[in-house]
Amino acid sequence: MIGNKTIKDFFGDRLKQRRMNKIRNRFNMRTIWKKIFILFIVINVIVVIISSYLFFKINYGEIFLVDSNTNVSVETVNRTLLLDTINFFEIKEKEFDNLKTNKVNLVDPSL
Amino acid sequence: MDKLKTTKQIFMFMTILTIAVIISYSFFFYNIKEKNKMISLMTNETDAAIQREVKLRSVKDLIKDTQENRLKLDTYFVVDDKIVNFIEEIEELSRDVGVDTEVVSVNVDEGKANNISELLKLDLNIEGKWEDVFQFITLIEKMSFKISVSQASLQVIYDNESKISSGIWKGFLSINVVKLK
Repeated sequence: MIGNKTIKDFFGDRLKQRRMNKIRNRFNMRTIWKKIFILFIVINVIVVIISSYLFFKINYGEIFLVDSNTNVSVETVNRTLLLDTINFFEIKEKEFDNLKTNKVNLVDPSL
Repeated sequence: MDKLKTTKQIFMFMTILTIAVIISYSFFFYNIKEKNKMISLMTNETDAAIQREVKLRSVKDLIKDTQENRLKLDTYFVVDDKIVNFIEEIEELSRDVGVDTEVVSVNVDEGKANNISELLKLDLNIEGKWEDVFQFITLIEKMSFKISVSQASLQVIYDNESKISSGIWKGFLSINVVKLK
């Protein structure tokens, strides 16, 4: 009976150890730490890249800009049109004076 | 076992620290974004104000430069208090060329509400020699106003007895001239 128990215990321990080894192999701490380390490195690299990108963009003033509509339009005097108009009236004035002093001789169509 | 516990604590601490760093990073990012937007907005407003100022100065200079010409231009348009002067000018012109005139009606066509000008319509009865009447109409068209003869109707007066032309023409003239409101 005792002998049987000892054999059972012996095999039981062996089985337990083998199962533990299996679990240890599956959760290898070295591998987990390695993965965590890589994850942190990747996060830090991403953070550094984003920070650098933001820094340069902000430094050159190219980011987070608000669209502007700075076109100021004011209706002003059109100098060319003004001069043309005055010129038009001055010519008319000259023609008027010329016609007033030099009467055109016309034949009355009823005569 | 203690070693494992310490490692676990360090890991937890580092994880919390990383989360805190990410949160503060996001907070500062948002802060920078908002401040940058505000700066951009203020810069735009300043640019617009500068542009407005420059434009205003150039307009002021332009108004100053063109003052003489603008005053001259005003004299080429009939204004409210110069309607009588304009009619007198027409009558004087008719006297100068030897045409009898009689102003029949004076109307103002206001046109569109937002227009700065309107039409002054003047109807005249005229009488005179053919060449005088012709010269009178031509002179009216050459007056230094924006003026046009819209309608003219002339007929010769015949002698009742001999039925021969008297050489005197009688008619009706309608003039349109641009008037400032």
